[in-house]
Amino acid sequence: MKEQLLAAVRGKPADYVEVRVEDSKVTQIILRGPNLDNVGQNVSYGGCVRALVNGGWGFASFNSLDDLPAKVDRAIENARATAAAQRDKEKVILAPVPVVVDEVRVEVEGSKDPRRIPLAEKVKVFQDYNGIILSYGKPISSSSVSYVEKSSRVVFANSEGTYIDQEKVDLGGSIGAIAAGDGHTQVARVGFGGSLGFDVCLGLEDQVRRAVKVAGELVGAPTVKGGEYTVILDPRLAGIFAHEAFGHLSEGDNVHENPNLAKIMKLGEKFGRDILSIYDTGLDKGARGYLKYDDEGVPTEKTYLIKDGVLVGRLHSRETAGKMGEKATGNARALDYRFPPICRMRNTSIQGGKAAFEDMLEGVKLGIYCKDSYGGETMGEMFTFSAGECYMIRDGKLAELVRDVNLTGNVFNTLKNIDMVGADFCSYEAGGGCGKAGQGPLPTSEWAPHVRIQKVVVGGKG
Amino acid sequence: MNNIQEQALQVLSLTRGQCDQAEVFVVRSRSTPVSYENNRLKMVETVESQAYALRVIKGGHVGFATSTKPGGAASLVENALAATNFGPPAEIDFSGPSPVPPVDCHDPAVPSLALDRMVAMGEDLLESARQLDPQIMAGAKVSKSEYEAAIATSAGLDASYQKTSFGLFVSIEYIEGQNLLYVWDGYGGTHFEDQLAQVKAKVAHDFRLGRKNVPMDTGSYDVIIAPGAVGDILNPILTCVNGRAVERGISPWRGRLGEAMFSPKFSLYDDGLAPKMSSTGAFDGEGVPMSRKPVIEAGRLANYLLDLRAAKALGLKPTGNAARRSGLSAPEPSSTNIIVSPGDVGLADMIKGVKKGVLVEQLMGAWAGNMYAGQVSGNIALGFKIENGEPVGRVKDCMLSINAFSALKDNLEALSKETRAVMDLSTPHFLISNASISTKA
Repeated sequence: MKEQLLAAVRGKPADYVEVRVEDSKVTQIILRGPNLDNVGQNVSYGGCVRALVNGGWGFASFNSLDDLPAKVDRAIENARATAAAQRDKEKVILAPVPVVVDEVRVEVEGSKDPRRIPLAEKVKVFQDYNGIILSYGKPISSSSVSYVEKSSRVVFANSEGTYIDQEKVDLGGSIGAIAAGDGHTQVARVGFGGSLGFDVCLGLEDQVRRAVKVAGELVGAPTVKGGEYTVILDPRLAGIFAHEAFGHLSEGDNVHENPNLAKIMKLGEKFGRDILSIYDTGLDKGARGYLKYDDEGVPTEKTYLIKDGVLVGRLHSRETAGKMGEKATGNARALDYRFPPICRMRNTSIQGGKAAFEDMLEGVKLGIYCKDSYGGETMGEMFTFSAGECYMIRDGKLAELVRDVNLTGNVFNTLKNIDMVGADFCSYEAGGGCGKAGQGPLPTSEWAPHVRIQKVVVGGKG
Repeated sequence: MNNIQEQALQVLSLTRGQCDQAEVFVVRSRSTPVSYENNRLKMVETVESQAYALRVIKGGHVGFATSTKPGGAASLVENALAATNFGPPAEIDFSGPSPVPPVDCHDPAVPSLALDRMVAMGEDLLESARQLDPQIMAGAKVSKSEYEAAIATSAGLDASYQKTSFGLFVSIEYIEGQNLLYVWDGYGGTHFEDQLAQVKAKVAHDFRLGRKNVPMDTGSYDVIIAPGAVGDILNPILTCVNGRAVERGISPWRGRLGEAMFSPKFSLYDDGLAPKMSSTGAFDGEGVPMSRKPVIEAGRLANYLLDLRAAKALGLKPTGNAARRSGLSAPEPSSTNIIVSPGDVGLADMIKGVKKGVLVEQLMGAWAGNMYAGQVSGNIALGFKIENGEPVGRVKDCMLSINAFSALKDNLEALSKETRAVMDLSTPHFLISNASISTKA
């Protein structure tokens, strides 16, 4: 394979050529209510070529590796067509990175290796969790349990001589209890995930029992009253906030050709209080966002985005780093062989601070403690995310459970309004992933402690 | 071109004697997107794919597997058979032969569309966006694709169809200080249609109106939901009529067919045969012919969206709504093209009639709410305040919260005469009274 791929991209009439070949096995287990809804084993196999000619990119993806040289030619032709139509004739500079030849294997203890554990054993684990949910009785009406495991081998070669043969394991999912009553349905879930052993799926019984109880309670909870609140986010939600509100804005492809945004996102500008530091890293082994090399063959690193409240970095591909005269950070990722790499996050984390949870509650006359998330979305400086389990805070104390909480804000104001960062940094993992430009779900992680934010807008009846 | 219908039959023949029933689904596609980012042509792509999906029934259980590996038929069969050891109980029979309905979803003008022409359309979109203001950063996409699906079952079904799709999209980003404005519009369907003028006009209109921000207060307002945001309002309905949710009793609407649930003004159709619309096709992911049926008819719940399994469980007929996402997932009920019947008020008059309200063009994050509870709560990503019948400027930092179930029952004041297609949704504007908007104090 090595010689075939390197030969296919070497000495071509292009400024840069890369090829990526993927062979993946995806195992999916879905339980809904008493039934196994789907057990599937899927093979995802294919490749792609990306080429750069005179500042224009071309891409071709395919399932069959037969006649690879013709596919390389097609990507080059596409790149030529792009370059021919560009009026500005601006050169693309790829940030220099070391030429790497490496073989990366996922090493997990045999008994925990998801690739060696029989399907029957995995199915049983999730059936047992499902049993805990369904045996609860009213108001629990159903369950939704999902497990997705992808083990892949991705081989990358480029015209600079880099050749990386990388194994990856990604697994994750959620165990959800569904409660019905009073004309609506409520869900509470336990998420899990990782990039190493199947053991992250084990021992979740107590969390599942708690989720069942919460789903039942949510059915009887009042909806939240809309307005502006002081909110405390639990580590899961704080992580989602870092990802949605700030991570996406830090992606180099937003900024590199956009002088007006670059003016706002100027390194050295103060974005938050001194207590706030946010970083994105590919180095946390076992995290779903762990990655040794990105899909441009660039070694990953820990990249600070905000340090002590000051903007210090961003998430780059070689192109966006080259354009801005910064360093490639190993953030160019592709969902799979069907897509070109774009700037993406890995494990985006809010660094732990000093505050205790009790201190955060203190002095909050009327606020909301928000836990867990159904997800979020971002557009420019605006973001939203929904919370799964929320309690009112009244006069410094946790009070009643409320449901259907969706939060929104403006990132520039909201970052400055983070006035407390907890000491309880937590490495929480969940299933699903991040979506961008039609590429999702891409495995990412979001780790954080509790954080307190002033003046967050919450939707709901006034 | 090698025939994917023959390939489906070949895989089917490998299953013979090894299981009780089998169903092979093969999809092949080739698409060419041309993408512009930050005011320049970024990339031309050629994306080819071919995927095989196999379901088998053995010993009373369903097994499922997929593969994109050329020559991987033997392991595909092996994986599907292995999954029957755990798979869901087989409550269904795979589809037998049935006549494929005539359907208008293939346009020979799409494959023959030259790359130069696509590039010229992209340039045109970009140029018109940049002419609005020199500070604008514009992006665009023009794409064409060919798609072919084939199905073969042990019950004797052996069918295939071809479709094409064409789309164009333009987006504008405008930054003033720390205020960002995004405006976009697009067109997508199975046929090549020159919609450049409409798309350009819509973006220009929204950009001009969106440049000025106006203050808002928390409160109850009349809101006009534009086609670009109607999908978010309909999401809870489509979630609750999804056959899988109904079958499992998660949907609060099980056992309520025929019940008056919404304003009699409101009718919504699922139409897998709508000419030229993007989700149109001859048959669904299980080989059941696509169809047109009311989901909500004059406010009454008329039909659920069903695949074979949900239909069997509910004692109803399948509706041709089994979808296979990205060609590789197991079939699941899903909507096809959604068509909302228009009302009798002109859009201009509808806007004129609003004393104090908001025209909501785009919502953000509203999908993350509790759909089974009807909750739609999203940031108004693009919306214009209306004062005394006139849009006066853009509102920001506002969260719109509506309960779709009660709002479309008690607060649906009017639907516009004009309709607009946003991908596979064709809809009028909705005027809803008494909608909650929360914003900064």
